[in-house]
Amino acid sequence: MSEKQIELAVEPLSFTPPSGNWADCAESLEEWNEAYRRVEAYFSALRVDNKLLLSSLVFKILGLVSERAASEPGRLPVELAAEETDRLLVKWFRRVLEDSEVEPIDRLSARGRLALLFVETSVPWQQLFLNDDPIPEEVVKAMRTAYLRADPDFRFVEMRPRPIDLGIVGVANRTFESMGVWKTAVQWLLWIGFSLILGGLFYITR
Amino acid sequence: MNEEELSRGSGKDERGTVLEAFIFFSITLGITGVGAYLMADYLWALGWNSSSTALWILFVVLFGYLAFGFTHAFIGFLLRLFKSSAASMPPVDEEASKIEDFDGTPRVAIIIPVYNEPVDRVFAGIRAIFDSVMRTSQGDAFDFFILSDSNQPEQWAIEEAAWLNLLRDPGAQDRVFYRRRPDNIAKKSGNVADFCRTWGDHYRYMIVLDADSIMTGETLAELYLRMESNPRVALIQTAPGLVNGESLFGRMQQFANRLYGPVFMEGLGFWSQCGGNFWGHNAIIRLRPFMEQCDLPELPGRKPFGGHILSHDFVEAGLLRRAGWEVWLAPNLGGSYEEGPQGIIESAQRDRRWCQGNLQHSLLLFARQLRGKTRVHLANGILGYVASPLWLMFMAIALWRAYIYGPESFIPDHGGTQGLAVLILTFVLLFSPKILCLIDLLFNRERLRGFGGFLNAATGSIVETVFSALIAPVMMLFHTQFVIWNLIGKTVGWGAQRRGAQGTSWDEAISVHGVQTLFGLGIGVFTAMTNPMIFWWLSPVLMGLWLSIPVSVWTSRLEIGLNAKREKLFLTPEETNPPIEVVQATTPTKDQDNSRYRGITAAVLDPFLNAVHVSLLRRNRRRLMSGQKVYGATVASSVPKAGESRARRLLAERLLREGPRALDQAETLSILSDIDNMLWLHRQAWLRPNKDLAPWWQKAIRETSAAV
Repeated sequence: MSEKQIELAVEPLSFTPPSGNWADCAESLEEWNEAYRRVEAYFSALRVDNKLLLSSLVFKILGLVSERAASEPGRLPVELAAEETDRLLVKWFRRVLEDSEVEPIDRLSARGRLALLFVETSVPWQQLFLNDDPIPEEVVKAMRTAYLRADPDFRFVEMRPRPIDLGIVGVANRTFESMGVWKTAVQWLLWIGFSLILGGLFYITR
Repeated sequence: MNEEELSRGSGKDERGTVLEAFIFFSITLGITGVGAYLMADYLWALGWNSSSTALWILFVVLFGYLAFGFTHAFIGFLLRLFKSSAASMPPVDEEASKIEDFDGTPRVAIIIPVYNEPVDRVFAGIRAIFDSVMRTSQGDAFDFFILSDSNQPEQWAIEEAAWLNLLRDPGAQDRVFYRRRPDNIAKKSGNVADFCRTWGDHYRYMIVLDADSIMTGETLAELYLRMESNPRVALIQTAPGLVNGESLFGRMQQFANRLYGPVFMEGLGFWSQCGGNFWGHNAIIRLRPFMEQCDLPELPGRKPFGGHILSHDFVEAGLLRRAGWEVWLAPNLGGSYEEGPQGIIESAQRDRRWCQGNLQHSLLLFARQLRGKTRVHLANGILGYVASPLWLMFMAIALWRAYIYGPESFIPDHGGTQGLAVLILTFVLLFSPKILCLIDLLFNRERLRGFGGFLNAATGSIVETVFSALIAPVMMLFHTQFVIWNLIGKTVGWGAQRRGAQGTSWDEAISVHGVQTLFGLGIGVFTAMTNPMIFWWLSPVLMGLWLSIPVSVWTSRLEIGLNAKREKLFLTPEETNPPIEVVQATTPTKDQDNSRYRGITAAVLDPFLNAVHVSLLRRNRRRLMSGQKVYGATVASSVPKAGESRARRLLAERLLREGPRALDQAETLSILSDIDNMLWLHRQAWLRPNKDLAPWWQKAIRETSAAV
């Protein structure tokens, strides 16, 4: 990779002001600045953290926007820049994920973003991102097989509440029975006997 | 040997014999009998009348409860002194634990049900436990499930972001899972049941943690091995120690828990044996019997007694016991922690919830087929709250009697030693457990060092006792209020507990304790003016009420707690030598962003989080759809009805144009729950020019750019 020459897409931008002087059109400059910031912000949100690559991508988009701006004078550069970013992104995801244009764009985009997230640590996708160069097979494979595993497979089991009998009638009888009369009778007799002795003592000493 | 071949407990050959319970309750009853006798003798000497009968009955109940507590400490102290294993469950049997795998998948699911809890703290705790588990040789046996019931949109989004952050560690992928229920039916027990229905069949055990639980990997592995080698055991409950107390109140509670807890737990383990209890978290559960026995029915009647069982844990343990399974407490197993309330008001808020749950158990107290020990656990929980109104009644009757017959009517004409004996016995039962726990400390050098030496521990114990005496009357009034509210049918909401040591403000303290202070002042002024002798008798109780506001504020203050720590007051072993898991769980994460709507903003703008959010929504929908048979009506609510989509799109449009503040919680929640709208929002937020976006989104996008 170190020997490979990296080609950066710094397209010539043709958004010269009508008067020929930038100082006269601060407004237009600000509009292009907004477009720049929007594209840059989106790519940085996609964790394109290499500054050079980031600038290259931004200029690539703005280059395309500058071409469109001439034919669509009523539209703001930021709108066009966002559209171009979205278009390139969808095109690239479609190519990598081999989508046959059946899936709605926003769903494809979400699938692509998820794939980028999960191959982030294993595959160097940033150099290939939005690039027209052939994409190595391992990157394609990794992105197509990447998915979010939020939980194990479902294996449903029906649970049914077991009734709890709370009936008041016969409670004493049933409770006594269920507590195991014979097992605890001796204990109870001893404790009752102890209480009776105390009561007897109390009565006698009055 | 596979699990099918292992016979479950039938109750015929239980290792926990009745002998321990007999010894324990004989001591309790013996002490109660002596107290009851002396009190009867004393009242007789004063001249028996109707008020004597009422006083005697109340006294016997309350004194019996006190004796019950004392016996725990007494037995626990002796067991620890003689290093007896009478309270312990059978140890790990290496041979018996060699049970074949079901299918080679992890055997233990660690589940963490969360409900609008502080996300940073919860996920730091999970991270700490995960790392600790992975350091053990049993690491592969565990999977983690974060089971969210959070119903605040912001909370939901932040939880997903925190989970995503956890997954950045490749080791956590496929091991730490996240699931959010769209509706929190049956609250925590419903949340756990939902897990059991969906994934319970994958695992042999689950370990239930609370949002603030911390457990070491070593302890988790030990629990797992104990279950493997004791096939008749369905549940092992650890005794969590309180940690991370920062305010004075929090640190006092933590000190008391760490100093007295082990001794009391030993006593509890002694009488309960295999008839132990479940406290809802920091416990391992055998899933199959739990799923067979513990899907709780609704109780008949109206709220607060009828409906879903709120304190489900006691009942679940009771149902497992009913089916013949063993439930053990592991009093000596360390490495299990939780956090406690940081102030009196926070503690009362928690008690308010628990009170309703425990009073609800009165319906189950005489339920058929429950074991005797289960009834004792239930009764103990009920009495923990009902004791307060009983104490108040006892004092009120005594006060009324003193007014009718004069305070001198409490001094018999002849003798009077019985009254003194009752007083001395009561004081012995109240304070001797603390002394026993201090003596116990002398036999364990390491523990003694953890408390900063004997002098520090003793000083802490004395100061804690003074504060407990001040706080007790306040809690008595709180509990009385809660019991009355429940009896008159006032239900209690289960809001998220406020954790941390933010401290109680003076305004809050005045609004909560104002009536209590006035009540104390009223009685004080009345008795002082009419009968000073009664005033002096009552003053220890009244003092707590008079000072309730400042005590509540000051004990909740962080700086006072930290000052006490600096002075080595209320030191605990976990403060002196903190376990790495506890440190990690409380270390604040870098760049904590606590700004409002940060979660929703990220769920819309962040390309990855948005994709993850949508993916989770899809997965959850698929889960509910494929599990229709077990989920029933829940499915319908998760799928938007016709006509709803358009309304949601309008809401989403408003969210973009006016910002998150424009929508209420339900509206935001409905958008966050909609797959199409979340995808649409992400694209639109990035595609639109600034003029079509609320300043909120413009700023958020600018900040993303500025971070580059």
